[in-house]
Amino acid sequence: MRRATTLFIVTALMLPVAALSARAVSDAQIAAIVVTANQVDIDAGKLAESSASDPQVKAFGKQMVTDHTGVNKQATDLVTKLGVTPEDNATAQSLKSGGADNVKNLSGLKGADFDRAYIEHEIAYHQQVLDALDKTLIPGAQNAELKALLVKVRPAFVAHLEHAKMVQKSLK
Amino acid sequence: MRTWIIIVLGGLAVAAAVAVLVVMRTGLSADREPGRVETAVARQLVRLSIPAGQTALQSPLSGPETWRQGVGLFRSHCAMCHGEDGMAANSIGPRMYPPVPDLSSEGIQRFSDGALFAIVRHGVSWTGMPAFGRVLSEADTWKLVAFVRKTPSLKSGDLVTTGGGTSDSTVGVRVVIDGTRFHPDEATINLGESAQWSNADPFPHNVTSESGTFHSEDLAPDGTWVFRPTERGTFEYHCTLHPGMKAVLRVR
Repeated sequence: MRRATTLFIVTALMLPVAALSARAVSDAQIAAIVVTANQVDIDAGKLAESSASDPQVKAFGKQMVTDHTGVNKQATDLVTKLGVTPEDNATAQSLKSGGADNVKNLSGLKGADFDRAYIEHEIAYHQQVLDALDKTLIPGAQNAELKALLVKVRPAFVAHLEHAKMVQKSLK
Repeated sequence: MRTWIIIVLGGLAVAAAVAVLVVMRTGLSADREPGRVETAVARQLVRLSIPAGQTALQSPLSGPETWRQGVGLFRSHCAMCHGEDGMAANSIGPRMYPPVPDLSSEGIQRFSDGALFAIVRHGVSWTGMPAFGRVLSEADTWKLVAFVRKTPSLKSGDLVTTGGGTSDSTVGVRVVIDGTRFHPDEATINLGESAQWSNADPFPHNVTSESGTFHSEDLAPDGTWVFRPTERGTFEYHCTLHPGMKAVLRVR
């Protein structure tokens, strides 16, 4: 009984939070989040291209630079076409600082340690972006074209996540 | 007299020893790169081996668009080693010894039309280049020469064949790569038809069969690749860049 009550209270508390977070982002903020999320992974990928020791990890890093650069170009083109000015916000900022911390952490690592840490972070990062896409960005996007772009690039993040898990398995 | 024999025999012995040493050092493996001198000497030998009369031959087919008739021929007879665009940046080209040359390079383009014609017809011994004289008509050979001439200025889209030409085939299926997926992910075409893939994603993909039967270059955004199977069967394929992307092409 007590458990049911607790569950009810927690659910009741969470519903508005979820609804709020879905409504709370504007297209301008989504634009900033998308561009930052891609840029963060491009930066990490460039580091992996030069610092990774395992050829698979190196190739994965290169792939991230290529794919996220492509996504970013398309996102930037659309945002420009729509006349939306990306608006900085808490999510974009935390992505940016998280990315900077990651690069700083990775810069101190070498060889297999670098490879492991980079891939581990890539898995967490892609999972995090997928969560954001599903819970906040896709439901929150107002403009139909922006929403369509997010839906279109989502499978790439899934593919990257699976690819990263595959690489992680081979490292062990 | 005897000294001459000794000198000649000695020279031959030294040459043989050098040859043995070279083979012992590098083996007979095909995965080393020939040196610049070796390449230059080999090219010159090929040039010298073609009779002057043939070097001066000129194509009876004129017209700036003749090369288009060579696209399908090149794909079915040459692309497996030379790559769809003649640059040999495919899976086989770089692994041969000597490596398959980039046809768009200056070294190849320096050959006259007649020389290229002779090479296609008679092949080049000690390389992987076969003689096509009994396989291709003279006219088709000239179309290939025109295509080789076009390779330095090929643009994406130039390699798309849309049927109508003598050796071109109809496109049996058009697969769109979108959202990191192949649409449709199962398709069936008839033998003789080709399949076309176009990339609608903002980043590159490729089309690679599990069995190694076909492999496209990486397709840039908006890039297109056409492949005409030469055998029936079920071909599972994927994108090597995104290992989760899988699809099937059936040829009946």
